[in-house]
Amino acid sequence: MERGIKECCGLNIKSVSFAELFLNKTMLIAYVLLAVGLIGWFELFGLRFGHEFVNTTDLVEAGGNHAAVMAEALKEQIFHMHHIEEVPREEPWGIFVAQYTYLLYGGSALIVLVALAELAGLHIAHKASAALMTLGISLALGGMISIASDWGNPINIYWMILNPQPQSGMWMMLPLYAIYIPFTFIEIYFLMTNKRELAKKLALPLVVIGLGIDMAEFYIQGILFQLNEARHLWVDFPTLWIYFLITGALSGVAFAMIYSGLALKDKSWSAELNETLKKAAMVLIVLVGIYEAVAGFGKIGEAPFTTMFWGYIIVGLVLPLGLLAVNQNFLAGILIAIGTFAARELFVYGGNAEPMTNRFGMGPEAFSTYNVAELKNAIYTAPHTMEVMVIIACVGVGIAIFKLLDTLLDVSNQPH
Amino acid sequence: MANYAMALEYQNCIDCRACEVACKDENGVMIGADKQRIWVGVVEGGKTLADMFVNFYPSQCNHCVDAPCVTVCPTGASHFVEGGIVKVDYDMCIICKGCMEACPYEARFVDETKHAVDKCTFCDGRIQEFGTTACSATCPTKVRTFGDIDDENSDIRKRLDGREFFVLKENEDTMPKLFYLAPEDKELQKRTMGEGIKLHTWDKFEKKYKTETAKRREEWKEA
Repeated sequence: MERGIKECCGLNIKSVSFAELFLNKTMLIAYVLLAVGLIGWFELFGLRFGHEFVNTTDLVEAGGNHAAVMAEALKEQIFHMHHIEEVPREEPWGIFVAQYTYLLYGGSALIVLVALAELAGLHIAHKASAALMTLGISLALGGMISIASDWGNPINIYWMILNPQPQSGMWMMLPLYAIYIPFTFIEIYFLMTNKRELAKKLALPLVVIGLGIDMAEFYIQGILFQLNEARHLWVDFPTLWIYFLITGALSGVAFAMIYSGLALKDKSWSAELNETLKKAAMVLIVLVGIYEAVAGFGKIGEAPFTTMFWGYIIVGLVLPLGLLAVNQNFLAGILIAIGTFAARELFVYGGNAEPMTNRFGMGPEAFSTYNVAELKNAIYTAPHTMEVMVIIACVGVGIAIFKLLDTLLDVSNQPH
Repeated sequence: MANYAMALEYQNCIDCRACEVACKDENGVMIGADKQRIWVGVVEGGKTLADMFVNFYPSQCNHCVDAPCVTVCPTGASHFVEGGIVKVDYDMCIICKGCMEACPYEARFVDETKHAVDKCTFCDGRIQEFGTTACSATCPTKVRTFGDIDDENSDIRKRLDGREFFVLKENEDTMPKLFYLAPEDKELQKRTMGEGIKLHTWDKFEKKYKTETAKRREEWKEA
């Protein structure tokens, strides 16, 4: 065994100094992103818990005390100042949910692709599986930080255990992730363990079960959005879980291409990995393109989301396809990552756009018949700066988790 | 057990907003809040001076029989209580805002003073003592009639009998419990209501309503 490596439970764990673990170049980048997020979180929690919101009872009880605070709170509320409004009624879900779906679906779908590559027995899978699965789960955890930031009162989450609601798609996330996250780490463990005989025996069942869990995740995510019956862009969207899977896979491949370009270019198997990622990206771009053309968001092409939609199509699909054709994987990866984030924004904000028509006594019509002239709530509201800062930090969380695991377990050098 | 609902003679509404003031006072709604708990919708129509009209239609939570907000809630904070009233347990709410997304009527909001999602509760604390909600008690033109829809002798049933009414967003199949009374004058009805609104009468609507209510009645908890 190499010097500086200790074996624990069949894993080779590198013995590294504090500085090597926490003060390397990648971690410093993660710290910068996290520092940006800290400002955002500070503002966010200040608004939620440190701000004075008053009702008539508060005013009566305060009497003459705290007059200045009450007067300020009254002024803000009466003049309806938007900086105190964290949750616009017309758009209850915003950029936090967009970031959650972006990182989580991207990370999970990357894990799906790696599992499929393992199942198909691709040669490159033996080289890169551990690294890419670790990247996938790290980014998925970053996405979870985003949704945790979105919840205004996450401390009450224990009620999900005390008072189970299995009919709720959102509740289903709890048992799902309780299985999904540990299981993914078990998969990674068996990709890297020294107990090769055991790993070989369990490889196939693990991959098959893993794929099943991944598919269940996307299916439940589809249900989660489709339960919002009033939101026609989500409900009328055909087979939402397939849309999540293919767009998530595209994001996941983009993350892998960026990671490969930054950290794996010196590996002997780098060219083979890049070629595989390129083919996967091209196939996924075509699949997403077909979905959008046949059944997708093209239907809201005339709504106020036009810019975002076409931005996503051009930046996320068209340009990268051209770049991949000339083997510019890294640049294509960056563009796909940007474009697919725009797709998630579009999905969340477009879905929020209800009621798009508010005619007297009428229900909302199917989204294909929305009258653009009558759109009221569909106008895009830019996210608050603090929200943008927090979602930047979520990427930092993903990078930090990955780098810590990579430093300790050397996941990027784990051929099996 | 009572089954509370509300009939709205919206043609009587003069948009004085006394109902909103009464609601804020009764329920401690945040000062300056816009469209919280109850509100008055305004729809103008007509193309010429001869056919111009304005509809004021007061609205609030519809306390749907098959409430999607209750279905999607991951913690059970949104729930039914006696009378079929949909309520939020503030101590269980994680403010995931799933209920706000699921509600077809945009009836829910985040109440920053309670630090939870909130909505109209049909003044459930008040109705035990006074028999009606603050908004209906205050209305100078008697737009709202609140009561037990299962009781044939209740005011609301008497109001609905023989009248045509509609519910908002019927296609959502949530079975809302705000019944908007259509104008009795057919010409006015045709001119001001637009096309596509399904009108009902209680004798024909009751069966479907009771069937749907029975499906979720066992979820009603003690207030």
